[in-house]
Amino acid sequence: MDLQVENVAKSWGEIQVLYDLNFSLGENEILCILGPSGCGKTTILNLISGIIRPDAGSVRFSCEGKTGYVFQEPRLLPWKTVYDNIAFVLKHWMSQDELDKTVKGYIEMMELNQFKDAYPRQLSGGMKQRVSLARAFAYNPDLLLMDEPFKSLDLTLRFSLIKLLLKLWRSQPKSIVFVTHEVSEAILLGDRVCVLSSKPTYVKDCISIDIHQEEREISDPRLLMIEGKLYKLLAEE
Amino acid sequence: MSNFSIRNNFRWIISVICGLILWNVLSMIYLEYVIPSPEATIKALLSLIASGQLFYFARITIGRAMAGFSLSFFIGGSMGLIMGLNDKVHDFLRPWVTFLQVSPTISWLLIAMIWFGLGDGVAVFIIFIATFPVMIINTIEGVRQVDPNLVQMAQTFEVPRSCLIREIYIPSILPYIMAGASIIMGMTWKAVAMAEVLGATTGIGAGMSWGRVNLETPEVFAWTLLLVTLGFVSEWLLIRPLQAKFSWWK
Ligand SMILES: Nc1ncnc2c1ncn2[C@@H]1O[C@H](COP(=O)(O)OP(=O)(O)OP(=O)(O)O)[C@@H](O)[C@H]1O
Ligand SMILES: [Mg+2]
Repeated sequence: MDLQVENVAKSWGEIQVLYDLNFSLGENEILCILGPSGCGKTTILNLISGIIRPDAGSVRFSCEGKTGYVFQEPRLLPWKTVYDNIAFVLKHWMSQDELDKTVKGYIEMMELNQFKDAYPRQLSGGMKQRVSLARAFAYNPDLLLMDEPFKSLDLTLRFSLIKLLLKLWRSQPKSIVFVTHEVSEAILLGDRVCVLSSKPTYVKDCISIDIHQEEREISDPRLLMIEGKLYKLLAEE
Repeated sequence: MSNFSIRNNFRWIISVICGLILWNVLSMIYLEYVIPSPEATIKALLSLIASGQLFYFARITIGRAMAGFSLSFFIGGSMGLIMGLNDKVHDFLRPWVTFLQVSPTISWLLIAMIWFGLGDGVAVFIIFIATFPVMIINTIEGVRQVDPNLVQMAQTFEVPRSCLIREIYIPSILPYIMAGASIIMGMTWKAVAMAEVLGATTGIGAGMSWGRVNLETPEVFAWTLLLVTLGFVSEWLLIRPLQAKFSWWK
C-alpha cells in the first residue's frame, strides 16, 4: 500500500517534536528514515500506526489494510513460547491448520527450529528480535513499521538479520518504513532514505538508491558514495 | 545452590531450637498459668486430641477459614480487576476500600454478632471484611504493573480485547494475585480465631476462650500451636505451589 505523510506536526506539551513533516512511501518500497537520537522517529511510526494523532497535517493510506510493527524492543510475552508468541497475533483470524503451517514456516525461515518451544528468557537478544520479526511477517501486514529493530545488536548479527529481513521481504513483498540512526543499515535496506533534522524535526532530504538490495555490498563504492552523502546531510545544520 | 539451602536449613533449625529453649526458661521462671512449659502444652494438645475435641474444632475452623478466604479471594480479586481496569470505578470505590482497611476489625465483630448471632456467619463475615480489601489492593497493583508496551503490541496487531485480557492481563496479574492470596491466608487464620473467641461457641477460637476462662493456659497455648501449624500448612501446601505455578516465567 502507499502512504502519504503531509505537513504533520506534533508536540508533547511545550516541546515541538515534529515540525512540518512530509514524505511518501510507494507500494512494496522500503523507506528508511534516518535521524538523530531523540528526534521523534518512534513518534513518526506511532503516528502512522494510529497509536497517536498528529496536531496538524495528515497521514493518508491508499487503501485499508493491516499494519505490522517491529518495536524497538522485542515485546514478546514472557509466559509464551516462541511458537505461541507468533501464533498470538494470528489465531483470532486464521484457521488452526493454516496457523500451524504459517508459524512453523516462519520459525523455519528465521532459523529458530530448535527454539520453537523455548521461552523468551531462554533466548539471546538477537533471537528475540528474530521472533519479533517473524511475528510481524507472519501477520502478513500490508504495511510494516520497524523501529530500530537491530539497535542493541552487534555488527555481525545486525548484518545477518538485515539479510534475513531482505529474504522475508523478497518472499513476501510489502511496504516497509524502517527507522534507524545507523547509516549502514539505511544503505543496505532502503529503496529511498529520508534524512531527518533534529528537533523540531522536518525531512532534510530523501535520497534514492538505485541498486537492487540483493546486489548491495557494504564495500561497494557506489554505496560508499551514498553513505558519504547521508553523513553530510545528517551533519549539516 | 544446594550448599546455600543446607546452610539455610541449618540456621532455621538453630532458630527454632533457640526459641524452644527461651520458652522453656521462661516457663520455669513463671507459673504454669502465666507461661506453661512446652511439655504442659504438648500434654494439653494430646488430651485435646484424645477427647476428639481438637479435630472437631479444627474441622469447623478450617471450614470457616476456607469459606471466608474463598469469598475474599474471588470477590476481592474480581473487584480489584475491575477497579484496576476502570479508573472511574476505581475512584468511586477506593475511599470505601480504604475505609474498610482502617476500620477496626473488633467493631465489625461486635456488629456482626448483632447481625448474625453466634456461629459461622460471624466468622466468615469477619474473615471477609478483614481480608478482601487487601486482596483488592494487591490485584489493583497487579493491573498497574501490566507492561503497557505489551498491551500496545497487542492493540497494534488488532488482537481482540477478550484475548488481550486472557493472555496478557491475567498472566501478568496472577503473580500479584497469588502474593495477595498468601497475605490474606495468614490474615484469615488470625481473623477466624478472633471471631470465634467472642462470636462462636465452637471452633479453635472458642476453645481458646474456654481455656482462658478456666485459667487452662496450656490449652490456650495448644490451640495457638494448632493455628500456627494450620498457617504453615496452608502456606506450604496451597499457596507456595500455586505461586510457583503462576509465576514461573518471572
Ligand atoms: N508520550 C510522550 N509524552 C511526552 N513526551 C514524549 C512522548 N513520547 C515521546 N516524547 C518526547 O518526544 C521526543 C521524541 O521521542 P521519540 O521517542 O519519538 O524519539 P526517537 O527518535 O524515537 O528517540 P530514540 O532514538 O531514543 O528512539 C523526545 O524528546 C521524547 O521525550
Ligand atoms: Mg525511538
